[in-house]
Amino acid sequence: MKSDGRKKARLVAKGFSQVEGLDFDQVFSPVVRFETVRLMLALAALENWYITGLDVRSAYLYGKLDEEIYMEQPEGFAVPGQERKVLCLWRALYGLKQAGLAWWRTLDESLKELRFERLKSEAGIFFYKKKGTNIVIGIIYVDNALFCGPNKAVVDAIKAQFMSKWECRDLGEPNEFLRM
Amino acid sequence: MLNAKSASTPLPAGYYATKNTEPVDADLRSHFQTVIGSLLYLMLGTRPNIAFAVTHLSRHAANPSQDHLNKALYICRYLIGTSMYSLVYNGGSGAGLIACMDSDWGSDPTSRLSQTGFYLKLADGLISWTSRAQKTIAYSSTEAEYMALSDCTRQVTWIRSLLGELSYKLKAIPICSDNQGSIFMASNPVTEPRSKHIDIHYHGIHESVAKGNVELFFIDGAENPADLLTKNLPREKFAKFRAQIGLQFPSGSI
Repeated sequence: MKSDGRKKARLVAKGFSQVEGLDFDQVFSPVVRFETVRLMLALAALENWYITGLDVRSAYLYGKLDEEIYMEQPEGFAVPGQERKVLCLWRALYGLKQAGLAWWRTLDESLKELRFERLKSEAGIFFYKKKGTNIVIGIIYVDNALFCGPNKAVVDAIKAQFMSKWECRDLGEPNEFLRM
Repeated sequence: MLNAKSASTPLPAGYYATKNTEPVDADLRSHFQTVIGSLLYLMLGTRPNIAFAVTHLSRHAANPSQDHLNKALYICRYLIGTSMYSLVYNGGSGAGLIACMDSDWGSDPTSRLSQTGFYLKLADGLISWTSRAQKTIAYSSTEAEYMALSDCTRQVTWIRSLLGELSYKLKAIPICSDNQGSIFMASNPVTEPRSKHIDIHYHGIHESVAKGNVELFFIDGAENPADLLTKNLPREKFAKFRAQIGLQFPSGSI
């Protein structure tokens, strides 16, 4: 149950049966620091920037896997007549140890395609700067994102490009971010 | 709990938790850890005013006493009375980055470790805050201040480089301290018998001062809002400093 009353159910992988070094190597994935979020919000207040938010629907399912991972067919949903076969995963599932990292890498790549640059001092902040147009700053926390900048049209255009890549829920001008 | 009488400060003024000498009570411990965990989360998000109280109590998470649990619930009672408060960034203020720091020498009655507290403010609201016990014993109050100042400087340096990457060119960021000795030491690379044992990495602060990344200012100890991050204050002082760090009761808008 979410705070707005939506109910959720999803297929998850049994990550606890994965073997380190074989099924996964790295599981760490960066998220933005709370203090950076506050810094950006204070900056946006000072500069009178426009802020807009979104979240990516079932983000982890987009993550591309580097490893070869097989999974038993989900109980009750096995293909009739082929119950003994297993599934080979192309993309991550919730529950996989590396799902977070896989999604983050995929996201990082796509933001690069949108000509965002990731900051060296904060892996959760992406900076869009092109000659002759206003800047846009992306604040990313796993599947939650805020975009802000001085020019509403530019920010919205970038956000639209981002939303065409993933299925997103548009949160408009946010009242809260990460429950803050 | 919702109907509990609210408290005016997170913990009673001058309170210090003492070590529990009784054997571990597993139920009490798990209850305490649940409460402290929730409080820590709130503190990280939008409640710098409970930072000292929560981190101070959390040190006893391995073996809490009934008194520790009562005090954790005391913090909850404070929060209930102030649940409508929010961190406000005032864009119209035009207020730039400013840091404030404080330390409390040897304040932990058991370990005699000193307390570090500092924060960074932008647009008149807090963006970053830290309240923690220092890792090594300080032999003087100046040394304790100096260690806190160094931690604060490192945080400022990081924020500087972050904003630098966003093409902001900043002047020296002011850091306010109420200790003349540590400001002197930070500004003048002197080695005195009393300070030469201070760990070398704290001298990194010299570099920041010399490069003009930070500038140190003296403020009166009684007027230092960072006091809030190093000790349990009496009600009036606490309320005054809380207003100064941008935590406000919403006016008009709601």
